[in-house]
Amino acid sequence: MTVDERLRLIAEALAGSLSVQDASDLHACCERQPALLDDLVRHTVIERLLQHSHCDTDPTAFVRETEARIRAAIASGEIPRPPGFVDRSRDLQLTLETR
Amino acid sequence: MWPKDSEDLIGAERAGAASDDALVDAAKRGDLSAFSELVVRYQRSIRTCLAVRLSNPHEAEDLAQEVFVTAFGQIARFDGDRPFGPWLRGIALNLLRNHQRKFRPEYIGGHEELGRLLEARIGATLQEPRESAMCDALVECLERIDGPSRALLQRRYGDEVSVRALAEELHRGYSALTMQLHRLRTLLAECVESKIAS
Repeated sequence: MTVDERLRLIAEALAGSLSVQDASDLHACCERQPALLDDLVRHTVIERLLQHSHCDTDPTAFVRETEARIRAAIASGEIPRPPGFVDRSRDLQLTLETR
Repeated sequence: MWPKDSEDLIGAERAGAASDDALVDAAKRGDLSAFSELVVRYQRSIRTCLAVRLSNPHEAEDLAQEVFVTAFGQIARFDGDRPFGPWLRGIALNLLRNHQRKFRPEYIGGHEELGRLLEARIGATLQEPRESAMCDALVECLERIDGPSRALLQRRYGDEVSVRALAEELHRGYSALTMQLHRLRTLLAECVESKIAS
């Protein structure tokens, strides 16, 4: 397999358009040539980090959504309610609602 | 000595004083705010760990939140003599394995053996703190790219437009566009590697 052919296969693999035959060829070559597998890993990781960095939500939103999921999981019994469970944001919400 | 009251604890953390141990202790007593501070500290590392191991970034984000929900549910069992980060990462990798067993991953080229080979190599190659460093470096490297290349990356990754749809939109040949994206990835990979090395 030529350098250009290897390059084309990796590019198409990451574009999501690798044919069944090309995927088989790439697999066979990756098993024979660790350097090619490492090149595929390198490009795949950058591809995924690119996706991640573009859909990376604001950390504050992530934390808020996670808190909401924890509350929902406790309310539904999916996770145990810890002894002395304190949920200040809920307390605050209730305080505001009763005003 | 750590603040006795959780509210003081969070105040102390904002001043940079509370340790993971103190926050874990407070979380064990059921303090969600203390646990949220741990989420703030570790969210980047967990999100990156899953993002590089899953082809769908939205699944990775969803699973990252599940990691913290699971961790809060199991916090009482956490051995406080051990570091919190690796424990959390262990939960992330366990949930990832379960997720991959439950939902068949989209293997590269639809080829299961190639996909498994690739994922195993990614798992063996990447470790913390390298993953987070790569993520930070990539953000910096992206800032160096402007003009049509930046716009292309935004359409492809920000707007999630497929390469085929982009080729039609830009009146470009599909292969030419695929190769341009490949060159951009190569450039970014070199930039990331050089930043990490330095």
